Amino acid sequence: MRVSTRAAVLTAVYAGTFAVLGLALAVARATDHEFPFLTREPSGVLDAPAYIGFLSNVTALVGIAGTAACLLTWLAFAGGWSSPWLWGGLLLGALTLNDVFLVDDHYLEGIGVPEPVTSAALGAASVAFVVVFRDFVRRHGTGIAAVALAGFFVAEFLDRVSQSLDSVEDVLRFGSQLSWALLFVRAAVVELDTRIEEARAS
Amino acid sequence: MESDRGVGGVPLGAHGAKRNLSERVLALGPLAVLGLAYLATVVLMLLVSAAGHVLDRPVGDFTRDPTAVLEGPAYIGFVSSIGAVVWAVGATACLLAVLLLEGRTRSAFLWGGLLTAALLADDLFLLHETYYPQVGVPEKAVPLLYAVAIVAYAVVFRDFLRRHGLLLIPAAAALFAVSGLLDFTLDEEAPFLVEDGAKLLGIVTWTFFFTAAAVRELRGLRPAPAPSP
Repeated sequence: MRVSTRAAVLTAVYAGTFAVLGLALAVARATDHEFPFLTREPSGVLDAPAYIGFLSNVTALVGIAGTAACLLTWLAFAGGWSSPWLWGGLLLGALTLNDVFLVDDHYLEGIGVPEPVTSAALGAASVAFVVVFRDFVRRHGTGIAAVALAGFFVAEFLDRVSQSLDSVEDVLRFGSQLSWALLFVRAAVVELDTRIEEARAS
Repeated sequence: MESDRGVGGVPLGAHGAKRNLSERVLALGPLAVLGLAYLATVVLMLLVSAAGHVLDRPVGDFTRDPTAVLEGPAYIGFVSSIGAVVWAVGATACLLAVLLLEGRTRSAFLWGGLLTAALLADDLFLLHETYYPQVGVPEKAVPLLYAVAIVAYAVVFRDFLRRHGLLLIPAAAALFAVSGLLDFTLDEEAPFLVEDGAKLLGIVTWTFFFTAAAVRELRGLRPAPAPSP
């Protein structure tokens, strides 16, 4: 990254951070909560044991790792708009952020988008990724992508048909996120390593 | 002989007898990697089940989102979650660099990644408030340990910091210090916006440093252009 680009990105990052803090302050005032209600860990705020939601947090970390691996590889390759790294990162990012911030349960329903519609859209986007970038997927693990898709769809199915299978659903969701993340992290290592070999050879 | 690969002017070198970490990972093949990951998942689930049994808690308390388990609004901990996401991006950048680079640059990412992972885990799982005191590490000693670790890192890898933005890690550390000092010294009337805002700014500064450094190092590994005819 050139110095000027770095400075511009850093400025944008700080601007985004201040925007997040401003938004949190506005929400705290609008909902009549203390500011830490939005800034501290949920189990800390609600005086609950720290292990509440442990697997959910690990799932989020795994999803973010896959997302970041994709987007970093996209940046490292200086990829274009049709790059699988960009779309893979956006897809896994959407799946992960939806889980972390309960976007489909709360926010999208609040603006009239039913939860099943969001789930169907995310499922369709996942299938579309596999179809459009089938060469990429074939190169780096069709089986892993199949497991990721199956985990997502079975988890969504269980979510619709039974409330008593929440834990099974969460484990399947974890397996799906883990599979996507593995696919992308491994693919990133393979392709970046190939570039390193080319650099060495040249 | 260990070689350095990076944009720091150190030439690309031979691997020597040792294979780099990425080659060892890739040698496993996709299904073996997936198998190992699922094995880890099964172990994780067994641990969660055991913890649920010991603590007399349903497994769902561990697997579902904390706000759903605690029946709070979805926006509780919104900024905290963003902080965790940003930490995780920094840790991933370090992980990728560790897998692909070699020599001193790799060491800088390795130790930076371990520090990032420690700070992330502490933040996300409330380690210094809940678990460290149970193993004899006082809550107030933990930030001091982190401070010592960050200063040691900055001193040992000062060449790496100089190459990728000398002021960023000290700036992040200063922001963490402001947040930590306000946490310890002020009471209920503490200016939470400053305390938590400084912490989030520290996290993004820290992550920006490692992410930009990783992208720069990996971009620096482009093949040389073909000679013109």
